[in-house]
Amino acid sequence: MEASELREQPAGTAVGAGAELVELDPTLIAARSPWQLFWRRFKDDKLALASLVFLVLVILIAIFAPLVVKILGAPNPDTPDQHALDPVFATATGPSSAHWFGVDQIGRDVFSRVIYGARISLLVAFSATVIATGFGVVMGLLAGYFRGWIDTLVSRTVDVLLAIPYLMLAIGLASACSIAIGTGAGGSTSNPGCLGGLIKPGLTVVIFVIAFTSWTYMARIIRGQVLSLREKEFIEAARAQGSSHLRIIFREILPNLTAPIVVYASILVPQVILYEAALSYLGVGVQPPTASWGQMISDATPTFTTAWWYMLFPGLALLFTVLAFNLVGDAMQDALNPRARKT
Amino acid sequence: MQLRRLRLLLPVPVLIVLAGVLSSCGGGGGSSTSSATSAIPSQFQAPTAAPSDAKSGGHLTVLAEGDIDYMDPGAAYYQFTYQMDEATQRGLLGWQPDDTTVPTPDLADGPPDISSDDKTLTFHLKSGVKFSPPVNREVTSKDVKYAIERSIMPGVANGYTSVYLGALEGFKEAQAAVKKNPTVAPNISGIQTPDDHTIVFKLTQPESAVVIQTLSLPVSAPVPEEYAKQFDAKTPSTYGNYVVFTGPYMVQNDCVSSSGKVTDPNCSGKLTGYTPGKEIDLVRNPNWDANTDFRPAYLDSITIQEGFTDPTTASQKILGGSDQVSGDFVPSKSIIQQVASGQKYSPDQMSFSPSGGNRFVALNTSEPPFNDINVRKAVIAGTDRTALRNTRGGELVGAVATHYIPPGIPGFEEAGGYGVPKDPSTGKPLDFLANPNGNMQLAASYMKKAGFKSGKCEGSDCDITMVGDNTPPGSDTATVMKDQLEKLGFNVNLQEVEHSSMYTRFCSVVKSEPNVCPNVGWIKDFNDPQSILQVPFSGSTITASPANNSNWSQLNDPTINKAIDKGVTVPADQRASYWGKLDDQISAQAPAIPWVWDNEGYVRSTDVNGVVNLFNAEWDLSFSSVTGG
Repeated sequence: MEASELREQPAGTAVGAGAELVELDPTLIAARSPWQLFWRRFKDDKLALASLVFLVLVILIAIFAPLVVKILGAPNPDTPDQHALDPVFATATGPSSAHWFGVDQIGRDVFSRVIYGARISLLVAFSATVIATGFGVVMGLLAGYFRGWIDTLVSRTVDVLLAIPYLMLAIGLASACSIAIGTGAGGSTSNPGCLGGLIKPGLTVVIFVIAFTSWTYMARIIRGQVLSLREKEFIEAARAQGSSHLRIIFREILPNLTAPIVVYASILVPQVILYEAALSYLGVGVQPPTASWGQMISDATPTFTTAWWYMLFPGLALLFTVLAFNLVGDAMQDALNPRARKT
Repeated sequence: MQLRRLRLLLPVPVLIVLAGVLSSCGGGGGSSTSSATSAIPSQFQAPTAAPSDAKSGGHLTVLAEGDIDYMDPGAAYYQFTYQMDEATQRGLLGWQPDDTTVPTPDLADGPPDISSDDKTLTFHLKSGVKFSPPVNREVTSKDVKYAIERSIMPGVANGYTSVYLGALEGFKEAQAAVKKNPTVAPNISGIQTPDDHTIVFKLTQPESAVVIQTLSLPVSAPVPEEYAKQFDAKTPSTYGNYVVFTGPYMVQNDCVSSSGKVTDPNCSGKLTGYTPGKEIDLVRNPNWDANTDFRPAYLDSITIQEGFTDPTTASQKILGGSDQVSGDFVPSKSIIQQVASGQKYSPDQMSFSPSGGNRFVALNTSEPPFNDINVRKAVIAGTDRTALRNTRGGELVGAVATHYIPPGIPGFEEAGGYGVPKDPSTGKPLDFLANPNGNMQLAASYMKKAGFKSGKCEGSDCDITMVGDNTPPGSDTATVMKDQLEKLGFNVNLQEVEHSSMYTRFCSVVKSEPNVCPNVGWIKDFNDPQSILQVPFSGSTITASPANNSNWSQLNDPTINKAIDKGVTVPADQRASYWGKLDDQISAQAPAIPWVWDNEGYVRSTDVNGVVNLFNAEWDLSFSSVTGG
């Protein structure tokens, strides 16, 4: 509770103590955009700020993974190094000067695999979140604004999707789309994937599956917001002016939904990261040998008692990244909606 | 046989009528079991004798990953099933734990009489061997005849009867008869039973030795016709649910209690102790007479518990528990290290023996880029075969292979032993197999010979497909192989699927075979090099069954095909050198990358006096005992 009290103070000063400040220095009462207000509140949460710095670092590392690995002199993530294995039993060996995080059961460097794993995690996290958010927002807007049969259609679809056990659907879809369905002429294995080749096995299956099962909450929340917004005076005014539906939806209503969209998207990101890890852990996610944290953890389970490093480092990477996203998400929610915190 | 955990899903087709001759009754042939086991440190050599103070009684649990292939001994063609059959069924011949060359008389009261023309074999049966309840009567020679005859019915059909017993007189007629009437076991005129205790095998060609070896497999376990006929009338036969036994143990059925006492004399014989994929309960066979058998059968009961999908966890359970041994899996390399280091478990809880098998990466020679022998040589030369072996473990899991006949099988030494095989035409060592750690320069020079000036594969033909296992260690092997191929310029599309689909949908289907199959291997049927080389490298394998092909390299070299055909009739004393040379001839064609001659690994709880059957490379359940007694 200490943290939340700390957070209330700046909010209080901004609104309540405004009168006092007038006497001291009137220039301080500057007009501030909602973003400026947001940032003022957000930056006071030191933990969230630290998390944000950490995330920026992770994102940079992920984008420049090959460069980072090269600069640090770490081996390629997919190259097994025979000399790093135990000379007698050919088992994984622990952290050393050549391999900071040790090597896995076939001699691949765990450090560079963790770095490359960040790419997969973040790529999936952002793309699935963008797709799920985009689709969810559009569906929510349409359902909330037009109501009637569109609303019924969207809402019932959401209900049905919510009734489907997510993980089972994900596993089913992922494995159905991942299996090489047939083999082409000349012995080539072709992978048509699902939906006429739109969803190829591996990364795209994972992104699709996660997006497909994650847009529903967003749609519900947006729909609720739109239902109340559409009765507001400024919307009626726009309507009276003869604005088109599209204009009302996207120019009048959508800007007012920024806060909930940002908040829920920020909650979605860490969920998606865990989701991807879970799918990869179960073997239906990103296909090996591409490094992914979930898959590394899964590979490490049988040898955990002897090769702790192989599970620990990807595990920590996953933990800290998800934690950081959650902290930043929380802080954003507080900053965008300061009153919600007080209850 | 395909390797352990790799069962044959469809019967191997009739290939060639064999006419090979081993030495009279096994022996000779230059077997080298002792030199093979010497590669395993004595500390870890598999125990093959029970201690003199072994106690009777007690219970043993065998932990297994998967199920047996068939309960019906006539259909079984899988190492793990043989382990159970060896304790529950008695064929004409069986195997002492320490012998891999000469089978021991089991139902037979001695080695067969072999006619001077090597075409007639006569066995005399022991008296006093009885079927388990509900049949209860004494075994006769007719039961053995029926067992072999029914094994070519489509509803039973194992993978080997037609391959190794095809030289019996009247075999072709029997096959024709069974085609017409698949619900009745055909008569094979070459199997004759002059009286209840005599059985005579008449052959069209002098190949008694192959027949003798085959009669040590479960196909010669007697089946009572009057009882089994009703089940065999169905296709597939339902005898597997009603099997009767002759060995010291039986799968519990509705006639006996869990202590092996007869409880219901009016029973049907339906097995109650077998839940496929879960559990097999073996109890003492009340009709077994120890005086007729070479098996001591110390244990009172045995449970085979299946479904341990993670071998590491199962191994840990065995090592730290009591009264348990490993079944169909080998200990992973991390377990091997843990046990050998002696910190947590005693090193003597683990042992190894040669499996009589090999593993190789098959290169599809039927299409580009591997239809070019120089590209194949380049790939073999550039591959770090030690790295492939290391995916399964270090030296203990097996030596890095340089050719195909594994240690312990006649012809191994002649093919080059642990050294480099020689090109049979020039007499020079095959340079591309010389360096177990790979030789990139040599690889580049072969690539240049193949027309790739840069020394690396270039162009669209170098986009290749590979289908491997999706679980370790097979998936690790595939990953390492992919890395090796990419170093040589290939662009590899690796698909990981379940081990069985790898065979049945990709690598064993001629039309859909990928360029590279990294997870294939072959294990002996018995101690003869023919059972190693014939099926995986004969061109006739491909044409005989394009949908279930075990010639994964699709090697179809006329010279080799001819040499294999000729090899089946080579007399005993020349077999080792003939097949050894043939092995070199195959190696010179570079059809695959041989990378390990497997050792089979075994783990046991501290209170188990385990005995390993070297022929079958499994724990011998009728020689193992527990100290609790």
